[in-house]
Amino acid sequence: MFDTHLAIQILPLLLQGLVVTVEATVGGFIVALLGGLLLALAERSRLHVAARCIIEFLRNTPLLVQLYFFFYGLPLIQIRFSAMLTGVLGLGIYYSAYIAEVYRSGIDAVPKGQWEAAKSLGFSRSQAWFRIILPQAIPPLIPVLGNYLIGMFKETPLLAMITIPELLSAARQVTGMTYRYTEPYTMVALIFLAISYLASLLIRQLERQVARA
Amino acid sequence: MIFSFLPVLLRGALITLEVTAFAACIAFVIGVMAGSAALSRTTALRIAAKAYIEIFRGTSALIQLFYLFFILPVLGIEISPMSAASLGLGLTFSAYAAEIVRSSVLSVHPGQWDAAQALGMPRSIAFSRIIFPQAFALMFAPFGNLLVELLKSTSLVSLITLTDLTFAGTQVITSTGKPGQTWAAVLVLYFLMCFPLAQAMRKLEKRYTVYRHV
Amino acid sequence: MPVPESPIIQCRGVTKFYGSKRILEDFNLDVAPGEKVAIIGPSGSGKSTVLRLLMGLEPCQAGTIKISATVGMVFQHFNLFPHMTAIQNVMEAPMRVLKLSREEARQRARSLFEKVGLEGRDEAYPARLSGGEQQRVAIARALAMQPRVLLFDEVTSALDPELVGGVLTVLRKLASESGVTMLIVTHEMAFARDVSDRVLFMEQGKIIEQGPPLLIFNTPQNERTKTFLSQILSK
Repeated sequence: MFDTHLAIQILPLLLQGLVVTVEATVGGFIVALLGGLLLALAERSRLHVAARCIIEFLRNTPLLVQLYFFFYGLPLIQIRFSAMLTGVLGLGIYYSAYIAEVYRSGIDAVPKGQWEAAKSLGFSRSQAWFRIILPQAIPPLIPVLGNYLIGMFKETPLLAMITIPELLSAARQVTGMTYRYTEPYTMVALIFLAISYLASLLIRQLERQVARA
Repeated sequence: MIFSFLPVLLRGALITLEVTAFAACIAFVIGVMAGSAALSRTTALRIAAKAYIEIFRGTSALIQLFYLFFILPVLGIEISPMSAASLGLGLTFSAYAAEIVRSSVLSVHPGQWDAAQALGMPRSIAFSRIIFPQAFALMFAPFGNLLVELLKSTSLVSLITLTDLTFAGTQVITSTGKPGQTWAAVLVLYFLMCFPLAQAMRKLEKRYTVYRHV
Repeated sequence: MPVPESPIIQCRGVTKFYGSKRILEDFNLDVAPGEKVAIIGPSGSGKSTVLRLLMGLEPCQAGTIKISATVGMVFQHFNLFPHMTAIQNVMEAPMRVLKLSREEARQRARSLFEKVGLEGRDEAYPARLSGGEQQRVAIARALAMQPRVLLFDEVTSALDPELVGGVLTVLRKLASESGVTMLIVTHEMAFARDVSDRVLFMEQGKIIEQGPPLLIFNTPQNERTKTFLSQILSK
């Protein structure tokens, strides 16, 4: 029923896929952090309508279809990114809409008096942002951002559908070679479970540390 | 040109809504049960519920769908794509729903429990008449978000051969050879389903959160 | 005969609304350079709003405000930067805005700390300081920018009573030793009388009466001024 011998045999192949999964997750997370910050700042500027529209569109459409759109559509306008780059950008841009909201709540949590103090001392807007407001807004957000990192990790199997050789891809390769579904998919499920469970424990630890500060 | 294929896409959208509805029911029912169990005083029940929540939250939705679709037949259980899709998404989202239930109940002010106890109410009555109604008001917004996430996640069922909107998109591309336009149209259709749903949930939330503890 | 200097602050016809609520109406004020003006009045009279408008924290719906100087402000709730130490709070703006070097800013901050009586508290974070100490850091922080106009918005109102004296001492010293123009919104009447050249009594967005402190406090002319002062001073 469950061939443990096979399961162990295919592990190296699966772990190769895991490496790509981690790369895509980290890359996507960086894109999301930067993109989210841009969107959050834009929401508080004259561009706020455009920013709101972008955020709403990204949040109300599926990631899979966005990935298809970028992967099949960009070449049509002569943009030839690698599958990995497309995947990282697609994943990152999708999550930047969520992370923008996280930034927003963090920024709103900074007392209004801080803005006023900065203004009364003659700080320019960008100086106020980077020296006063953001350093206060961001540390409490770290556990929440951590949860989004885990969420992105769990969405990486979608990247298999745009030919990125991550963990699910590796499993499908195995099913193609061995015609066995149980072992590869069970191993993949266990790997995901182990990593996201450990990561969530880390996040909870982080939360406790932030609460103490 | 793309418009002549709109009926195909709309038929897919209908399947999308069907799966969403089925999965939402499963997720809600199991979620409330698991969430309540996770709050139970009975240790065994609480641990079992928490394990269930961790397992289904900790694995990816797509993996769970593939698992049901490919591995159940191996065990001799024949399952239609629609059933696999509804069950798979339902179970995944039931774990998130359970978390919402659990944290909402825990958010109700502890003073409410004290008051109920001081009035001599047994725990079960306190829970059903005092605590849960207040917790329910807190659950509205996260449940609303979860429902929209569920609708978006149905795009994954295209990968287990269910003819939803995304699957219809692939069909249209095979006929027209125009991926850019087609996927753009599919995105717009998803938006037209999700955005009004999100707005409607927000309106519902406003109407029913009169009970929020001050 | 000395030529009267042109006012450093000039408000003409200033009107301010919050939504439909009128806070200030047709407000006019001239302040001479180096003048110390105390603003008193019941809550809701628009005193803080005047300061906020002068600081540029909010726009007015009508009228003009002309200030020919740099302005600084000290707030009721201090608004210190919690993620920086006391001395960093004072150094930050001179470094970033005035482009002082770190050493110059530190020296300036240290001498200001001496002036406000906080030597040795450099490295403390605001959370570790008492309310009075925090407010003195806030005063030093505002002074570090060397403004020619300083606005004080009820700076002792949020302090425990026993800490008020320390802050008022600093303000008295500042008023007597420096040529900075000061506008002080306060409920501390004895302090206002001692320190100011002119007192403004405001009610419901209008200046009811103004004049030298001896006139306003000892022989107020307007009935409403008399009522307010008797309520305050009978506490």
